[in-house]
Amino acid sequence: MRSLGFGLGLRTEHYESVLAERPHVDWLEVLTENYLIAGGKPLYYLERMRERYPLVMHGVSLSIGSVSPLDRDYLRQVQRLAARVQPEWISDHLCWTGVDGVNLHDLMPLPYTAEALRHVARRIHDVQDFLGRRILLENVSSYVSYAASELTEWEFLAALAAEADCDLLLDVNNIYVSSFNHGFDPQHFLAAMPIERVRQLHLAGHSHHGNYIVDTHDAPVAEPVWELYRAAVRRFGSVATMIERDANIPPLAELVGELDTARALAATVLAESCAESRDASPRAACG
Amino acid sequence: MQAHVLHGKNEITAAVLATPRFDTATRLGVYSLGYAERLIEALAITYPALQAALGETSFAALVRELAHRAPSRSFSVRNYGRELSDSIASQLQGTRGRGAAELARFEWALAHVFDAHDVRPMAHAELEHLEAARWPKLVLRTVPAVQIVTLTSNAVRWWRAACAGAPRPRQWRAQRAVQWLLWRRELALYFRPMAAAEAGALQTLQQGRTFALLCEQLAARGTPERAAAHAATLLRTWIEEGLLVSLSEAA
Repeated sequence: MRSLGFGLGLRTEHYESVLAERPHVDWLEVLTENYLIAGGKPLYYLERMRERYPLVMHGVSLSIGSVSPLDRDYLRQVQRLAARVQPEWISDHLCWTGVDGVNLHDLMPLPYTAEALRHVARRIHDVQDFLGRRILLENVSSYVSYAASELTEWEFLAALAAEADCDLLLDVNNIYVSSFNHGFDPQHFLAAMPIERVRQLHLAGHSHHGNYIVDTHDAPVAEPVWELYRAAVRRFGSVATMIERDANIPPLAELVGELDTARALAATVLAESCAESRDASPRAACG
Repeated sequence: MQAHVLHGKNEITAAVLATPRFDTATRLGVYSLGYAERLIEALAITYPALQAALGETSFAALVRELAHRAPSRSFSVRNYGRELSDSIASQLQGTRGRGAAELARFEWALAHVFDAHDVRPMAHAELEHLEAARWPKLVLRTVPAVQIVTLTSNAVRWWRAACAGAPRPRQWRAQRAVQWLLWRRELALYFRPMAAAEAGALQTLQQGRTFALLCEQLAARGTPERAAAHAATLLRTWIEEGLLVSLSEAA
């Protein structure tokens, strides 16, 4: 499957500059919930962006891991927005955001049990049937893990992709943050991911507190995350990659610069991989 | 876990794995502290003038209390915070409390105006050729972005000062209650004070009443023989300002 290339998470602060500067960005990711509104400025800019860039939709309120019923009203609105935006894909997170009608507006981790796996897979099937398309699920940064877990996060995610027939969005920063907080090797995570399911990568920054790391998405990508991104490109090849900044939003040029770093780094890794495969098999073709 | 985040209940502690380097309380704290902080950040976007008027500490305390007492029940954080005005009214006393509650109500109404459905506004030409017989039963609709807010304080002065980064007004008290009309035209936001007769007439339209009833109401409020002229003036102004829905859309 052809990669979309290198994208940015669209933020309101950059509406005007994206339109005026037409930055070297291949696609944009829009936050689904920001556009589930009747009218006004966000939808106006969404239309303008749609005319200029391929878009993908990224949600935070699907709450796929919750034990409360799926919110059908929310899904209907997502479906309507998708009909308007015609996104390349729709993604959300492997998490729960609340029970009993509450939304904590946070991405809460699940216990990785066989029961949870069946539960979440069933709900993904429901969502995909409703939307009439495969969705992508993203790994979240986490600070707690549960004694009840029977699987590692990466075992759970890989099994879920197969069981639910969904695709994956890997947030490289989140893998790094969780690996630090829980003391696992992030390479194990990458190695367990089914290559054919990984359609998108996120890159972001975090806040280091010494003993632990909080995923704040408010800073440039940290060096260990760039290092892990190199490993991800080596494993998954050319996959749509984007910079995701949620707070402390810098000027657009700064994020485009970071994206250029990702672009150059991926090109180098892919060229190295290509050279290695040519050495191993001189007739191999590199795309 | 949710009970811990919202109410500080600790049953979840036994279910969580920890390490000496990163203990259970700190792990859970990332979620419980982050919960309120995220909502404070979100509501500061909806209520920038209120935050400036109260100061960051008081504003954060109000949102924190609301977040734990009445958590969000919407898929979008944009929809959260309507109750902040009531929280202020019940927690802050005197004219400051009333004024700040009204400022919250004003900013909430602005947020509604920002996100309201876009419709084609009426043009003058649509009414120019309307047959005389159709006027009495004519039902005009206001665009969805129209909001009417009654303020007894000078909350709007506080709002303007906050937006301009100017010094805060000296007091919250106003000379009299004012009905404010808020609306959006394309992407631009507008608001202005209204006389009671105009506010009453607009509310009549919002209730889906006919033009004849609107004229009757204006006649009852003022000079009966000038009611039609008054209605015509109001209509012209409203069309000019883009407050009315095109008849083609209303049909």
